[in-house]
Amino acid sequence: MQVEAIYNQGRIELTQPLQLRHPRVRVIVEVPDEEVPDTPSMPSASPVAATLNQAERSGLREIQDDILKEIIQILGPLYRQRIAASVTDDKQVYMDSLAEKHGS
Amino acid sequence: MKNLVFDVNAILDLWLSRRPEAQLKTIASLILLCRQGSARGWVASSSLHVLEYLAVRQFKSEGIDPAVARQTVRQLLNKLLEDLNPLSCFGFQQDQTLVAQTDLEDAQIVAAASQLQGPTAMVTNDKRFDTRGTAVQQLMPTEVSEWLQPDSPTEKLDFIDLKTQQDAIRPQLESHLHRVLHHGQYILGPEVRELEQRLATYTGAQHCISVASGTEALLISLMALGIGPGDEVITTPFTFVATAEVIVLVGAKPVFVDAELDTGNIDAALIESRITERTKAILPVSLYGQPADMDAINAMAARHGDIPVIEDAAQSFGAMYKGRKSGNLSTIGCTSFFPSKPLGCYGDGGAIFTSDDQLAQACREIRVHGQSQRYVHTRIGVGGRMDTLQCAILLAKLPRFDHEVAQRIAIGQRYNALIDQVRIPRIQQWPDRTSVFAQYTVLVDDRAALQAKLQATGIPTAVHYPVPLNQQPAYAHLCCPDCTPAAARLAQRVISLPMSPDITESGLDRIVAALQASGHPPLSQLQ
Repeated sequence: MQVEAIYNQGRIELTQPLQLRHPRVRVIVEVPDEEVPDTPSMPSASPVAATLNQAERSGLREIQDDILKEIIQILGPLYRQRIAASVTDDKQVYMDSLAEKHGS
Repeated sequence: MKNLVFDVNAILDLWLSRRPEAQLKTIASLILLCRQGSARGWVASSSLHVLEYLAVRQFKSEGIDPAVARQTVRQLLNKLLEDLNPLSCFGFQQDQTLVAQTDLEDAQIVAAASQLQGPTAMVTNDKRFDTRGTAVQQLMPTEVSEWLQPDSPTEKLDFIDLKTQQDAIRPQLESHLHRVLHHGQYILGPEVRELEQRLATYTGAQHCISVASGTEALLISLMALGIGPGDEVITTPFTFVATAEVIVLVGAKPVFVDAELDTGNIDAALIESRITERTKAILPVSLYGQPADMDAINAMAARHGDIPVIEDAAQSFGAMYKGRKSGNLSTIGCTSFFPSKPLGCYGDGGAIFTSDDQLAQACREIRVHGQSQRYVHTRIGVGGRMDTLQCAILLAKLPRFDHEVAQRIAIGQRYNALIDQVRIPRIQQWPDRTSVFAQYTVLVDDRAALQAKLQATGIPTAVHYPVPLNQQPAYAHLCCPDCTPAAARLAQRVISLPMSPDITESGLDRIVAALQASGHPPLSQLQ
């Protein structure tokens, strides 16, 4: 059976609770090839420069779109361009949500 | 590394596409920087439910089924937490948030962000977000790129940067520390056993016995071997005092053998002539993170009636010697978890490694006052246990350790290339072993002047070690001061430069440029 997990700083964390017969079980994890570094590298002199260098190699638009594409994929039919909301708008919606939850 | 704490509005803009595409891409690129490890991204735990409320509410207002809306938002949150770390705001911080002049939600986020060690910015579209009175910057997404540029070259470097590591593992640290606070087994708790098992597996040794410090590891090892008055232990004078101190403490005599000029480690070729019938152990130190010539020492010890060999691996945990891990290269290996060590806790700690069952049992008993079972003291011991909390801290650090060792090696090699270009002699590494560069050490003539010049440009240095032990007042009677000339020569000239797995390439360039600018003449005769 396959289960979803997140690699986080060296630990594998399951996204859903999983009941198994034994408390300790050896499992095989499939790691995406693109996540495996070729050789250890120095911490970058300039984090922004590093990103921009990578951007130059593969196109800035493509790199930035990675995050957006993932969000759009999750949203599916819920994705659409919406009008800007101010911080005040957000706070009002938040208060409305709390009122709905707590019944006031 | 700099920290970016994302406010609710920036994330919502991205999720709900509430801004023009260019602005959404700016926010996305900042999260991408965090994914790539160029900045460290955070979202306050107290923001997560706000994000959920607002996003679900938006979808519901568009006629989406509430269950579908909630499920979608949970997926978005999961995806977000792949790139951003959850940032805790603790109970003890609430008093401080209640007196803040801003609203409680923002005050909680700022209180949480203020705990981070590195430079920290709040990424928000809310210009009213109040970070006054804290070191946290408030930046619009478009302002972040400029803020992320490298720091001013005059800013003081850390000799050992533990802050970046702490930010990198903060969620794990919090989780591990709270687990101990919850179960309350502060002495020999489950984290102690887990750490010992994991470190034994890591080194390949059959046994790992955690102890209160690296010094305690050496002392307990000597006691377990039954070394006492009238015995001799061969060691190096070019080391931290603990190495010889423990020999004297058990009543034995340290016999100092000179160091190698190129590595600073004990010169294995000189050991054999110092072995006598009173020699009960050989105690080489794997200095600066590089194992000593353990095969030669082990072979010599075997030829003379299997003299036990104790590797002082306080600085070399993580290093390899001919395919084996430092700490598991001889009868016993001892390491230290002092905070500045390659694997360091947040206090004192250490460990003993051995594959000898009887020695392991002896070490375990000596660690707890020589106790074989409760209130049965079968041998003289010490109170030498490592705290559960310190073990929990190391367990939080272990998943990052391989990465840190790889970084140390890469940084050490980069240092070597730069230092060789400016023709300054340095400690050498042998090709049959790796160094974890607990220190990065070069050799100069006028050390004090160089230290002053580097200090003036914000570059701290240290000396490991300025006086060989056989020249120290408490040890001088044990060996003539001039019979270890290499150690004396090294002690006059060594100087250690800033080193840690998180030092940046620009930091390294700056250090080497400052060395070059100091006009320090290369030392001619040393190598």
